[in-house]
Amino acid sequence: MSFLGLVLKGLGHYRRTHLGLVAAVMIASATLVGALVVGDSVGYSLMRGALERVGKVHSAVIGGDRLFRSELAAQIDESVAPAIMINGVASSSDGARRLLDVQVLGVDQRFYRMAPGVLDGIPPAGGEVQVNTEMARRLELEVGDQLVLRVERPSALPRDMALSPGDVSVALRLRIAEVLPAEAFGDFNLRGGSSAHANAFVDLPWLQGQLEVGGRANLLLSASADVEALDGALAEHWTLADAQLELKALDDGQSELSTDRIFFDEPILSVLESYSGLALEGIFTYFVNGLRVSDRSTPYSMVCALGPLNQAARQQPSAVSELTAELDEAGLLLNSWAADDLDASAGEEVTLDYYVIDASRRLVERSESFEVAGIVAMEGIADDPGLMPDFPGLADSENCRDWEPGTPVDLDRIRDKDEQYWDDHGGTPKAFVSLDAGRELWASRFGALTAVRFASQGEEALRDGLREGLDPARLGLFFRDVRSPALAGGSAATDFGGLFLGLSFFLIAAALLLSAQLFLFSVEQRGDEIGLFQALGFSGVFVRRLLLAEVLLLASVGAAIGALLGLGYTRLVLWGLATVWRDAIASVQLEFHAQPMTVVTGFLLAVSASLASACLALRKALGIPASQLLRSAGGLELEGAGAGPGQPRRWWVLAALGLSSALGIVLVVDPSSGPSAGGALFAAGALTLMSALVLCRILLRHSGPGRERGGHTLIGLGFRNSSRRPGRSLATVALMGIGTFLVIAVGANRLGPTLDPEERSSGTGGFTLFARSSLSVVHDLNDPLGRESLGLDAALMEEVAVVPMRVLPGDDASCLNLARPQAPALYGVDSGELSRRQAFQFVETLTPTDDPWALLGEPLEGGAVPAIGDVTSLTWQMHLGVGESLSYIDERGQGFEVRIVGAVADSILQGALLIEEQRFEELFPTLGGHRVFLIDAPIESAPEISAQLSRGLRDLGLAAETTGERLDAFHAVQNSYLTIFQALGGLGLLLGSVGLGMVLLRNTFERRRELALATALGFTSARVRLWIFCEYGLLLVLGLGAGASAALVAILPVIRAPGSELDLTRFWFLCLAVAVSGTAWLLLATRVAVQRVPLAVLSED
Amino acid sequence: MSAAPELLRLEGVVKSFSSTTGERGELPVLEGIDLAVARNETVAIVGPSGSGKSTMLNIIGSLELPDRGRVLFEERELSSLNEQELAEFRNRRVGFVFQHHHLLAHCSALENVLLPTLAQSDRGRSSGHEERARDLLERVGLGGRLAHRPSELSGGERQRVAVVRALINEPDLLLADEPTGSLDRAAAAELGELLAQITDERALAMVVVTHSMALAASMQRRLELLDGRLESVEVPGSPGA
Repeated sequence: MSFLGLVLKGLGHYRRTHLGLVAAVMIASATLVGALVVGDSVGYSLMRGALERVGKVHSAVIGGDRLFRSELAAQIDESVAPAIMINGVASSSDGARRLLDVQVLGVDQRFYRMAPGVLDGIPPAGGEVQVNTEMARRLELEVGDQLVLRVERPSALPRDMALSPGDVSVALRLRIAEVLPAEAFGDFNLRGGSSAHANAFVDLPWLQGQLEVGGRANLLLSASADVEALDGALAEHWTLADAQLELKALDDGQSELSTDRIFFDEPILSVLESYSGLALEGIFTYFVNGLRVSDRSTPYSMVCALGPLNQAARQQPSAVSELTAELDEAGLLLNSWAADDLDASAGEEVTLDYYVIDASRRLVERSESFEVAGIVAMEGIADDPGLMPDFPGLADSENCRDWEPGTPVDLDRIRDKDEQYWDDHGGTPKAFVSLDAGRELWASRFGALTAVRFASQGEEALRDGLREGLDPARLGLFFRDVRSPALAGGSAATDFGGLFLGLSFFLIAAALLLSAQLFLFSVEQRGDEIGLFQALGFSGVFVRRLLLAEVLLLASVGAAIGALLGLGYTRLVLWGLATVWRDAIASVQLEFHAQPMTVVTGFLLAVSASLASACLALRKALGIPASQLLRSAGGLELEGAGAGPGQPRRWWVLAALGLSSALGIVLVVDPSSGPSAGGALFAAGALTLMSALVLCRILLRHSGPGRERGGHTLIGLGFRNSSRRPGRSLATVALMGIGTFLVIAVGANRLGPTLDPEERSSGTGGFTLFARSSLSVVHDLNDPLGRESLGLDAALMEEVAVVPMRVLPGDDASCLNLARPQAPALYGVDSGELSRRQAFQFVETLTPTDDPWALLGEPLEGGAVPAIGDVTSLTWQMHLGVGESLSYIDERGQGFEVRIVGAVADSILQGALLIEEQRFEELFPTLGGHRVFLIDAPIESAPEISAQLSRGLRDLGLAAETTGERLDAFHAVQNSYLTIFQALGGLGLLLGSVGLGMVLLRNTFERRRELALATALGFTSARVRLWIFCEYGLLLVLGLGAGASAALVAILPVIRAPGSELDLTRFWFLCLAVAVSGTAWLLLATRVAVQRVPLAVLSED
Repeated sequence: MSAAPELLRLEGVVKSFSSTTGERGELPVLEGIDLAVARNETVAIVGPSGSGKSTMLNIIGSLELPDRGRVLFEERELSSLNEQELAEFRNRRVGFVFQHHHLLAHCSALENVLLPTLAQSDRGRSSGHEERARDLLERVGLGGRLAHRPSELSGGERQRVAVVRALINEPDLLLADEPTGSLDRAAAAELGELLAQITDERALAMVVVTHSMALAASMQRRLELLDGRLESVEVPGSPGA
């Protein structure tokens, strides 16, 4: 005889009783392990996706609109891969299927060596394309199919520049050569996100040819993590060409520094201005709409601003200084052709008309008058067509009528003599102003200089000076760690293990309660045994150890089987997430993955929880005197301690307090006042439930033996017997009640469809349409000219107002992305437009204000950029609160902080952070154009306007959707999770009704003599069953009644609120389901119980 | 009063219970019990059902605490012992025999007898316990029933196992609560003889609560519990009669 032997004998003897306990622990363990492994699977799938996207790449130079030499890659390191990465819109050759936001990559063999798996990939031949699986799936493409890709040509001019040509897209017709799987780098992406992105791969040299950017790339990829070493190599090998600078010798002993980007960037300009080794003359040539003298005018001409750029130039005469020696800021020189054309002479006033982008980023025509300071002959520098930079749409035009300068041009104004001038002199400026005057008129954030001239002998010195003075990082030439954020983005935004634990909470709780209940039964059955141990001198510790050892073994067996079943549960949940609950994960492909540690954790949690509940039950038993235990003879009543009538008045007071508080909340709270109202009504429901359970307690305690309520009928007797074990009965009622309440009340939080999208304070901000484009839109959609140039119907668009937003592409921070966003997309918006409309409802702001949108323009400590986001994205995806910050890197490689100054409630703004447009432009000056649009339009014509915009901006890949649809897509995610909670809660309820059956079986077992006596007295089996059913039917009714009434309190105000789409159908359905399930279990348990009562028990010892 | 040294003394022990319905107040059971038991003395307590005999026995065995009064065992007051000391007291100094045998259904006769030894060590078979258990079972005529489970034994046999279990740790005091209450006349007589023989042989003190006049008559002293108080009674055929 040993302790272990005693434990094992106990287990063997009570095996049938223990079977239920093992089953309950098994369910708890299966649910626990299953939920945790769902977390593993989501985490694994996201991380696998992240690794497939980033491959072996660790560092990258991301040039965007800036192009550098492809050769630079090999000069830095043989393994560095150059590429061109641009956005595009893809469509099937018949145009039937279209895919926006395609990532188009021009690559060579070096790219494929960084693939996550297959390393021997080669680029397709010219005119062919490799697409990834996602793109093939979405466009239904196969190898050999034709495909049209429209891509944005990297622009020499920033998109927002007044002279930038509007449409810079190029259409590429391609044949699908291969569908590239993820292992072969098909899913390459430097951005985070859970959804696979559409990728198209073409040969790099071929793409360079198509885009007319021979030998250039805008992306360098390296497998090295040593960013410092890479930057060192880059600093050593970069040339002026990588900064898009060009030095060329002119005929007159002069040399010129110019840039492919037309205007020098600010960092280059500041180096040039401070350069002292050489006299530098600045040239700033601009395209004007006309020169006017009185009523005479010369249309569309180049005007050149000239003058010394640095101190050395001011001290050293040159051809330029000779020309402009007499020119002050108010003076202008006309060339002889223009002077003749305008019939102008010195001293007359000449007016220049020209386009600029104004403070509100609109194209406006301005005028400025100068005094004619002189007429210059067309010779020397005054007859130099090279003073005009290579303006796209102008420089390559054979004649004036082919001009496409990006600003409106009235070709009717162009005369034959203008055509002749173009033929003879090209872009030779017709007028000259001082450099200061020119910069005053035309300087913008894109630059204020088009060329620099200097003596040819200083060419090398200037080259060296620029290389020394310029930090390539300030031109975007720097390696950044792309792997860490990509892998960090491979973690889930939400702890899915925790989430599914929460969603399965009631099921787990029900299983643990059931196991506790069963253990309690076991302890009650063995009360005399416990008493014997005490009488024989065993300490309480020994008895506790003995019984807990049994529980430990039982729970271990149950939890181990449960852990295995839990893996099946995970597969079931993953199947659910892939099918019926697919909205919850935005169609991400999840793969089953279980980490041994997670399974062990779930196992240990289940065992610990079972032990804890057993400890509680045992504590009660060990508090009972041994003599009482010895007398229990298998029928111990653990709830007996204090089970008397107690102080009913106290319970009545408690119930009354709960009900009156609930009523108070219902009367005070306005159900349509936002998320807080939902919480308050849920609390009111919970208070009602508590009160209802207290009332049940009173009823059960006061209808017991000795209280002749119900009369002397079989049903009355049954009702009275239901309070025979009030604690047991109350626990069952509570389990059913809480389950019913949770399942129904939580369902009321389902978000209905958006009913009034024109309401400014709603989640739509009052906008009816939300549009996004794959390529930048530079036209002003509010301007009739912009609309006209896009071919939009002026009449239809009359009532349309658009709030355009600039976009820094980044991680999707909406709930449609499962992965944790590392750098959410930034939208640059004119906050005044949203402020004027009082759009969206704010739930929190950094400082109290009546105009929350104005906070975007307020300066913040440390130069942080103020940002506003959707509260759902901030809370669940970014895990940021108001006042917290996020780090970004601007276009020039400088880090900056974005600080949250406000959060808007449940809105279409999910997924990105909004900052002031002006700050956006300062930080990302070359990210021109707009890509996201909030559109005010009459709701009735919204479909027509949406179609019109999609058609007009088809080449830019614009897709418009109603704001209601967008909001509903977000709501679908939340609703899916509620569905999951309800489904799992429903399983918990089912388990609750199993518990009801267990209580019935146990009670009837204890009363087997009573039931046998009834049979001996002539009761039929049916009568005995009715007797028992009445007893437990009451518990079912009480549980269902308590839960349903509490749920009604929580949801009725919501249902009755104006415009509510919720109705009581689901409520009734759930009540019916619980009632049917409970009744079925009762009937089954009743049948089993009655079958188990032989008459022999009457004569049992 | 016995001439032998005193083993147990009860002084003014009072015990009452509250009514189960809570409507009839406190129900007095023992109202100032005084009792002294000498070593090797056997005492029978008789009285009508519900008079508090078992309660008194439980108080002596420290299974219940008195509301007032003192219980002294070898001059040491039981209320001064902590939980561990009380457990040890019940295990080593006292042996219990109940009306219902309270044998563990899942253990054999031998294992049931050895059960109290586990309170001292997780492996009760050590230190000669098993040998003693076998001897004792042999002694009460159950040598051939060692491996039988309680369900395979007769009522008298079960009760004899219970007696042997009470003796396994060689206690000083045997407390028996209606030990023959559930046995037929022959088995009851047999058990009575056995108890008398054992107490005599082992110089044990015994307090037995019984309705059986025959069993009471075999004890050295007989007391009746009536209205919460103890009174000496004479039983025909008893040693003192």
